[in-house]
Amino acid sequence: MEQNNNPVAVLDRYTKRSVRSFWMDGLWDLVISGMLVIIAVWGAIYVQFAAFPSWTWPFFQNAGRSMVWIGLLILVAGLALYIWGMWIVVKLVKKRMVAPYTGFAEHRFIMRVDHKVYGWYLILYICGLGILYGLFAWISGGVHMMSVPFIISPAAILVGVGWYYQIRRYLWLAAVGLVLAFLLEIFATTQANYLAGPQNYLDILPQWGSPVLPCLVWAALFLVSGVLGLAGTWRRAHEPRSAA
Amino acid sequence: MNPDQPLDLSQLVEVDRIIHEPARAAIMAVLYGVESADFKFLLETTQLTKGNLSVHARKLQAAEYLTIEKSFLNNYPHTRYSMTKLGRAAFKAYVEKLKWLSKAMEGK
Repeated sequence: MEQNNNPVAVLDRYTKRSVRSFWMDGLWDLVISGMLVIIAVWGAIYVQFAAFPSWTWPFFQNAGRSMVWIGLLILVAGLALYIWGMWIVVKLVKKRMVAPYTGFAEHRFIMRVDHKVYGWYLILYICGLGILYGLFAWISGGVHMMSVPFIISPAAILVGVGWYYQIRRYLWLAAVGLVLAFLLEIFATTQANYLAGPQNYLDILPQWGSPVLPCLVWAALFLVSGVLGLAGTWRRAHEPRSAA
Repeated sequence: MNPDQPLDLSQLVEVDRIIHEPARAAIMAVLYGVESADFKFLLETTQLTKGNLSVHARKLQAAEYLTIEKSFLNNYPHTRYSMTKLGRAAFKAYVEKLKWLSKAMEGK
C-alpha cells in the first residue's frame, strides 16, 4: 500500500494504474500501427487524387471534386470498422495472452481520459504545428501542409499519455518518431521547388508534403513499441510502481 | 461544498466509512478507472494480500458498491469485480469530500 500525505493524490495514482494497463502491454500500439498503415495507403492514393485534375484520373474521367470527399468517407468508415474489430480481437488476445501475467481489466470503449491529457495534447499540437510549418518553410521552401499534422499529432498524443500515465516508452517513442519523420520528410523533399515541379526522391511537393511518410515512420515505431510492451509484459516487467 | 466556509468538524463524521479504509479506498480507486477487473489484476495493482483483497471486496459488495461474479476459466476459478453506479457515485463523493477537507484544513 502506498503512503502519502495527500490521500487524494494516492487514490488518483491507483486510478491511473488501472487506466495505464490499457497501453502497457503494447497490444494497442500494434493496432495503431496497423491503423497508420491503412492511413498511409489511403494517403498515397488521396495525394494523387488531390494533385491531379479529375480529367487525368484513369477510371473517373468525368468525376467531379466530390470524389475526394467520397475518399474521405471511405477512410473514416474503414477506420471505424477496423477499430471496432480490433477492440474485440485485442480483448480476446488480452484474456488469453496477457491476463495470466497481469490479470485482466476491461476498459470502456470510449475511455475516460483526464482533462490534463487533452490539455497537453492541444498545447503540444498547436505549438508543434507552428514550429514545424515554420521549419519546413525555412528549410524546404514549402510548409508541407498535409504531412505536418501527421508528424506532430502522434507525438503530442504520446507525450500527453506517456507523461500523465508514466509510460516511459511513449516519451522515447514521441522523441524518436518526431525527429525521424521530420528528417525523412526533409530528405524526401530536398531540391524540389515550385518552378521546377516535384523533382525530388518521392515526387513530393514542398507545399503539400505527403502524409504517407510520417504515417509509415510512426507505424514502424508503434510496431516496435508494441513488441517491446508485449515482451515486457511476458517478462512480468510491469509491476505497479511506488509513489513517484 | 465551499472550502472557504468555516471548518465544521461534523463534516469529518460524514466521510463514507465503508470507503474510508486504505485497502477499500485502493480497490475502489482502481475499479473507478475500468469497467471491470479480475482478482489477479486487483492483486497486482493494489499490492494487497489475497486474504485482504477478498475480505475488503466482500465488505464493498455488502455495501452494494461492487458486484462480484465468480466463474470458471480454463477449469480455474475466475472472479470478476465491477463497480456499481452507487459505488461510483459514492467514490466520487468521497474524493470530493477529501478534497474539500484538505482545502479547508490548508486554510486554517
